[in-house]
Amino acid sequence: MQVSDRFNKGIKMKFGICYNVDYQAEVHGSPADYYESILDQCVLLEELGFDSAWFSEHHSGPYSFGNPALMIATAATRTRRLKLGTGVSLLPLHHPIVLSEEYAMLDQLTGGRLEYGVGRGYLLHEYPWLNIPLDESAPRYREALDFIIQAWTTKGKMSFEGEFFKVDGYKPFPNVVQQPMPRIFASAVSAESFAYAASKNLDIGVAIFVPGMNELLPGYIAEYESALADHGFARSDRQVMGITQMYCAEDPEEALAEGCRYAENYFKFFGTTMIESGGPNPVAEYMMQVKASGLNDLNQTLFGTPEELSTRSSGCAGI
Amino acid sequence: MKIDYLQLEVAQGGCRPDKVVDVLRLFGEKVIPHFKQGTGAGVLAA
Repeated sequence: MQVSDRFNKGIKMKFGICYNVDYQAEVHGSPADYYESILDQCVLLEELGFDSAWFSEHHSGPYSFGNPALMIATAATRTRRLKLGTGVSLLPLHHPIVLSEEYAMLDQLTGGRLEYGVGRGYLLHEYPWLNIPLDESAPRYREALDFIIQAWTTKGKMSFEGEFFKVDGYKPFPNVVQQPMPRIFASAVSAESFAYAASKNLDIGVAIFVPGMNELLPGYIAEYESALADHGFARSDRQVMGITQMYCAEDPEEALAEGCRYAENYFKFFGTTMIESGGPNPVAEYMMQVKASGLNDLNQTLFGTPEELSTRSSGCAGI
Repeated sequence: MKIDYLQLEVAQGGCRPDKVVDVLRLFGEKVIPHFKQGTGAGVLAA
């Protein structure tokens, strides 16, 4: 028996792959090679039964994608079932008319396969580079989100009167395919952000590899569920998505060694980029020295054999 | 605690695309079927 059959008793878990890559020419070849390999992987993901592929947004040289919508649009032409998402779209950096139109177009072009992850980002230099005051990040995020939800759910013309965005008689086009609207996964890293997502009846995207999240997350999810209920929303309609590094190999020592190697490379890159962007901070310093094997022991990363990862994924589902 | 969805990152940290493909294939063939009977690529025999 390769894996206990208790895992074949209707336990549900969705799986997506996130591309938030630190591009390296010696590893990935030319930018065209790099994009092509990811698009090829999207075809494979669909064949293998993955639920989704996610593309991130950053404006920091070769890291991530300047425009994840372009990856979604191209991946859509090569796949039929795979959901395609942003992980995440940086709302404060754009006008919500542009975002709501662009991603409504993608919901049309994908045949209703868009999953919209949203957040504020963590690379602080992106704000001044795009001429957005950093201290407006949170209110711009919330206002842009309100605008996009209104645009996606409005039939006919809409008016919006916010601090940053004002329109009167604006007619959103096109409509979204998914009704009432595509899922919106709000980035959440604090009790406040979980509560805010609940107040808007949004899904959650949470990075479970960040410091202390193993201890904090059960409480955050409990508060999210309680807040959903307080607002009259059903938990069963919502999804909590955990984001982390994964490496799977038949040999357990290879899985742990390779998983830790690539994760620690990425964590160091992540921490260095954060510090270059906004100066020293505790999270960046933690990421630069953290041992991925320790995170794996705490189930904050998923490195292991298929059997181990089946068990541990079940644990994430609260089984 | 109840997580409904796992968004997994494999391709970071200098992992070569051919290695990423190996990892995706193994995970897709041997882990996902336990959570999606009939929809994965090759359900494992218990």
